[in-house]
Amino acid sequence: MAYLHTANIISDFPPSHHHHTSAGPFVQHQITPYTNNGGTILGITGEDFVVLAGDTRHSEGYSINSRTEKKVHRLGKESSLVLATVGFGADALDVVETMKRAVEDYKFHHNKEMSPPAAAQLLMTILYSNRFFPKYAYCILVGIHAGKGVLYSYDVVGSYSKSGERRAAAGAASDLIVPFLDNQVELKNQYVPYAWEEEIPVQPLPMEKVRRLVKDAFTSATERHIQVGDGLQIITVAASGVGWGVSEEMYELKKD
Amino acid sequence: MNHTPENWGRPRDDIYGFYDKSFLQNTGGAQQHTTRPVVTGTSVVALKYNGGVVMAADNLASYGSLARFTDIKRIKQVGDHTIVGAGGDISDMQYLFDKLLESVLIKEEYQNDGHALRAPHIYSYLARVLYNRRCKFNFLWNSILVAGYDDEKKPFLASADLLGTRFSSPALASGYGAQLAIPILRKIAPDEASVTKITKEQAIEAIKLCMKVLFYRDARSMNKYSLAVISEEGVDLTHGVALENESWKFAETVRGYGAQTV
Amino acid sequence: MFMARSEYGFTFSPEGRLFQVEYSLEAIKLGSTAIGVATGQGVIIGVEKRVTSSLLESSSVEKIVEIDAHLGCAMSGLQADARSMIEHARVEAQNHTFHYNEPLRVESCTQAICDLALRFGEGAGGEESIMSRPFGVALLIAGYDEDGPQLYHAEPSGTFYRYDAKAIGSGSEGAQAELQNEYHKSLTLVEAETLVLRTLKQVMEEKLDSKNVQLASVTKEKGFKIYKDEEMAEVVARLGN
Repeated sequence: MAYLHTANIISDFPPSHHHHTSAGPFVQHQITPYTNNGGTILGITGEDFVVLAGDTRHSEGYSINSRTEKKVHRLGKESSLVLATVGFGADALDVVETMKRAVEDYKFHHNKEMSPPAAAQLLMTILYSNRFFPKYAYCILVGIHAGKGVLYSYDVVGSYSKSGERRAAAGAASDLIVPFLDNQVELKNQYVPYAWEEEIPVQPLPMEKVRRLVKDAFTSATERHIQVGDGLQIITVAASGVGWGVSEEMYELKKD
Repeated sequence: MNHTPENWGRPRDDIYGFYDKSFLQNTGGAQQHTTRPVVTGTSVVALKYNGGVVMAADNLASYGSLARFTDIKRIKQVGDHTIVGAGGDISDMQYLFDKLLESVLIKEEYQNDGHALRAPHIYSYLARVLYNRRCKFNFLWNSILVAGYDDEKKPFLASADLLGTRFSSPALASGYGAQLAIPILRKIAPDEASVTKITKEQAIEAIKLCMKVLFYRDARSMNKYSLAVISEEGVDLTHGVALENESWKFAETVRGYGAQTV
Repeated sequence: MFMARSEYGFTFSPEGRLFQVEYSLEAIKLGSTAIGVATGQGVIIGVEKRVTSSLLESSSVEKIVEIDAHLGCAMSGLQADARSMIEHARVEAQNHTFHYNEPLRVESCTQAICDLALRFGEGAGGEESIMSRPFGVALLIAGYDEDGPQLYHAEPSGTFYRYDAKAIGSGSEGAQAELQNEYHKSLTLVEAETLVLRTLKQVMEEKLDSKNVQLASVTKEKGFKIYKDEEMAEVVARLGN
């Protein structure tokens, strides 16, 4: 909201009644088209499910705009696709809206739901098409493909791995959460007790364990990061026995 | 003499001869973008209560530190149950209110299909306009609050700014209101559940308190404001409401800076 | 300027007919015969080449073309018109792979081609018109996607239908009757090869040989493949006399 105040703008127009000692009358306040709205998102895949979560705090600077803005969005009523975005809120929402429209359009054009690999490539083309005025939105896209939970994560210009990832975190507290995931999901630096440097093998985690990890990651991040907190939205997409299901859980986080 | 903007700050042809403009990038006249707000309005504050929303914004338009206009209406009624409040550049606000929203209302009126645009629709439209303009690097220098009812007839309150950032909360305030009014309002409306326990009178009282605090502390504010109360009966929008029980007595007790020596 | 239009130009006649479109359908009936047969194993498309002179290099008659690795088509009518349709389909297929990292579906490809078909005349609905007349060519589009092997027929009118077996062009009436009799769901790809050639043979004016017909197939394993000279010779030999 700092843009709305003329007080910190160094210029002669509108006239200020005090003398300024700046470089000259042409020094201008430069407006940036971006802001950082904080927050964090996190996704973890299991064997036949995937969990995608994000906190619900929306902030700017030291102000909390809202405690209830959701960052995780389903891309279609019949689709397993779920997209979480974080960064500049307006761009993030725009990317989500664009993807929702594309998923709907695709269904009309091709008489089938867009698959996660197709949506993954599409999201890349959307982000990269804004390469020279990027949408400042870090994205994690998940869904069910061929009975398996899949996850893709992106930088703001669309870089992603076609083969997908086991887990990803983005946003304000990603620095805090990624090492935790390295240790708890990829089992980095975990060794079999009493065995000589025998690593614990990586295997898909059960759903309850994943949800527990997600909550732990966010409660910890909330303790240490000022932009994370208020509420946690956890969406689980499961390719359970008969078809798949998408469910949402809300979990309280500290509001300080 | 040529008064068009592209000649501002350039030698006059009638005195100095033809001015060679060939080095200018835009041959079809200079591109005009707002690079800063000029005449500005300050905070807008709003609070949901059980059955509606209360909003207020003072009637001042500042030109820098000059109190330029003291009768500016910064809250607009849009349809039967929706209001929009704006801070930031006044000319951009008047463009939003008098050109864009007015033409939206006229088009809606022509349809005459029994369908009414509600607050979420007006909000969505305005947020998109603001975001579109920011994408063209041609900002509408405002921060707006939209209040009314959603499609389920529940109270609606949301905010959008010059960047297209959007969010919603039981209590919202722009500008200095975000620093000074929000702590007061969140005390009585910390979350959506608490809104159902707030009466209309309590909400009005809280908003009036916020306007007083803002007048005391915000140098670009004034003691006359517009107050809007949305209830099921419609919008009760009053302009020129005077600040009640204004007293600077407290200032004597403020210590630590200024002229005091002790 | 003289324009070869009917009295009603590009609009409806009082009886509700679009003459320009009807004439374009007539143009196809003058074209060489093309046949497609869809089986569970894949689709076979075949065309007669009308080698009008012994001095004509028969391999330069191209009436079957590739659209994408899993899509191909046979044409009948004004071949030059087909070029812009094929070009459009190829771009559409590439665009789809670029955006979605997956092959374009056969029906979507057919739809994309038919979207072009009505962009003639004054141009309507803000869409830029690109031709002064309708296309004078019909296509048999063969392809493979997640729904298996498929055969589509696209007309200049912009309508398209999916077929098990379809014949277009000058010999289409006789050929379609033959296909009606001979087609069954359990045809193998090899049987489809001979069915296409045998049917072509019946309706062709010239005597069928391995130089004046062309076959192509679309299968799950190999995608779209045009038959080489040796392969053509083998299938023709299998026909006997």
